[in-house]
Amino acid sequence: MGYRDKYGQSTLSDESIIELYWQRDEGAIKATDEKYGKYLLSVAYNVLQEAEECKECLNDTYLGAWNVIPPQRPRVLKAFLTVIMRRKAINLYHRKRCQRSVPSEMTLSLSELEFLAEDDGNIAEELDCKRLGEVISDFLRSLPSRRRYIFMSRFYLAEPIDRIAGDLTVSRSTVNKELAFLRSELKKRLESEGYDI
Amino acid sequence: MKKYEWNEGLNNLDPDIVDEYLEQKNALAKRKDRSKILLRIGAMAPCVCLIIGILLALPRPDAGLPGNSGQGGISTPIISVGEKLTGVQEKVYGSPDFLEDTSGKEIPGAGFRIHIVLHVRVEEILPDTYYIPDVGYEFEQSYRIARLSIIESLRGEGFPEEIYLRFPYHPADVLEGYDSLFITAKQVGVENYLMINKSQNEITYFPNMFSVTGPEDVLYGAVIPINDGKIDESFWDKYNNIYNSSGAKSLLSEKYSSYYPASHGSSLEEIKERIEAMILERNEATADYVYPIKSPYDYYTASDIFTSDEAKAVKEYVQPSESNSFVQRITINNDRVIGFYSRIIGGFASGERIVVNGYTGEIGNVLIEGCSYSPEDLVGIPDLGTALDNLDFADTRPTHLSNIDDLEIKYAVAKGFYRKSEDRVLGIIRIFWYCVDPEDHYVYYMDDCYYLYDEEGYGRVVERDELRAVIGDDFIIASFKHDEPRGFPEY
Repeated sequence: MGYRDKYGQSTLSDESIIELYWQRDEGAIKATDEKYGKYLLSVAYNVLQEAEECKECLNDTYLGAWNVIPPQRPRVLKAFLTVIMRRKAINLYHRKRCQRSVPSEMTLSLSELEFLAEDDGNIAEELDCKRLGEVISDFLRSLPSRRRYIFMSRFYLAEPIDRIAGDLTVSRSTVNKELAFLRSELKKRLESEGYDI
Repeated sequence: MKKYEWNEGLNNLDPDIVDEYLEQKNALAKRKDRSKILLRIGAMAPCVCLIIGILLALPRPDAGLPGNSGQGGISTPIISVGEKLTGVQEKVYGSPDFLEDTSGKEIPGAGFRIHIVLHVRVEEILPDTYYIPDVGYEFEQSYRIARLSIIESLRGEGFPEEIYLRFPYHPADVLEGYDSLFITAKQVGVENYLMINKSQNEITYFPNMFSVTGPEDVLYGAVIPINDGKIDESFWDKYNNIYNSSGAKSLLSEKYSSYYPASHGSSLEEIKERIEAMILERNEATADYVYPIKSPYDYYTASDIFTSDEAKAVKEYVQPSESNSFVQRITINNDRVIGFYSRIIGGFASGERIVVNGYTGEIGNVLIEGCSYSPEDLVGIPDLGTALDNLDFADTRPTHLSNIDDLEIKYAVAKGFYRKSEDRVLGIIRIFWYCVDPEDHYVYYMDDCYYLYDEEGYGRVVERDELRAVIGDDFIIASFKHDEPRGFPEY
């Protein structure tokens, strides 16, 4: 049985799906997969580019969700899953990068941030990533909505520039110009917060 | 700053920013998709005012709620067998009979997931439809129950001679006509799993209840029917819109599928051997928790989840009394044991829920959701059962659906809930309209208006935002756009 709309998409509400997790009903995973599986794979694909690795991250994401719900009750399930999936994909991405270059959109988007240094496989000192997260969040809040959208699409989800342009119905060169502005402003902000850029 | 550190920083973004971004993404995507159905939000019809007028005359209900009596002298936190409730728990206009799906849509197949595995004989399919009383779903799953006698247990121990199997709603003959079945199932909360038999308006208790694995697997992956000593493939031809006969055939065509222990023409012995191999594989791979059947009381009092002071306080709090009715459900999954307690008032969900979250051998912690109710709270509350019973929407139509003329309404369901707001208990009813659209899709719309009943028994229609202002953000208030249709089960 499936709750499907005319596009064959599962339409169980997030609340219903979360309720399944709370009831430890394994249908939660299936419902999550039906509703968000494709989307989550696309998040991973932007980072990893290889189908098997994306699937591996997807399974890890479902397991991650299963292990924390309950006691968690996400307010927005899609965002909750996105955060888990991104984390899994990024971790795998950086592990792979130690061995070889990864031909994915993530590699391109990272290369655009020229002020970032290459990973050298050692974390000599622990960067306070929570603080960095707060600084970036603060930076994002200072941006108008469209720039924030472009930043998140390109650097958080590593979406291709064409897709971002399509979402906003603007030209590719407009997105590129905005990205150039964002990189410059971001660098200034990070330097002002004491980061070694 | 290294690239890895940068990405870790992004992993620590404020979650609100991620939420907002994804909502924006959705909105942009929808704007581009012009084939969605768009409906205007409007006010309810004048006939609703007439209904409200009738309801205004409702008398205040008496205090006193279904009490709880133990079974055989054992005190358990349940509403006991045969308890009558006030009013009906759900009002249905039209009939959610088995609906034939002519769309030809296929349902994904499922494997034979190893849980408790039994070889059984069907003794009876109970004729009524059952529901779970504390469900938090927006759409309520209905169930059927089969009484099974156990021929042999392949995984699990301590079974009685007969058990009950709960499975999603199907026609009565779905499991009939076979010599035996292999089934894989989960135990339902061990004790006190209560089902409302809507046609009899009472709560019925089934001991030794099991369910098929996952609400959407139906029976497809969880059952292997046997006739004349071998698999009976006619099972998949019976209602092929449910069972996805082409999917079944693809699984059966694999000689040694790791997901399904039968192939075309497999004998009973072959199937049993393959199941045993799957079990061995599973036992080695994971420490699955397969436990012997215990009596409800034994399980309840001995459960490891009640080790902490907090958890013990919960056990005290949910003890049955005249004003205290809780539905208890205990689930076990590998090494986790979780007890859920939902307060039921007059047969309706109240929003009060307590979760005792325990790990076998460790101390359990407690989560409380919703407001707690004191005995004083429950005096003089709205009589939601009578309100629901008196609600007459048989001749009404949802007026906020601008395409209503194109829709064939199959049936409508009104559901009641209690909620507490600022020390008063309110009753809420919301309506779902189940329709078929011009393209033969089964869709349902949730009304964006709610009936709100106060402690004086007066009811009125309120919009979503007003209800939210009264009871706060609650899952019974639609969060998605109500003007988009939702699919509903095709059977």
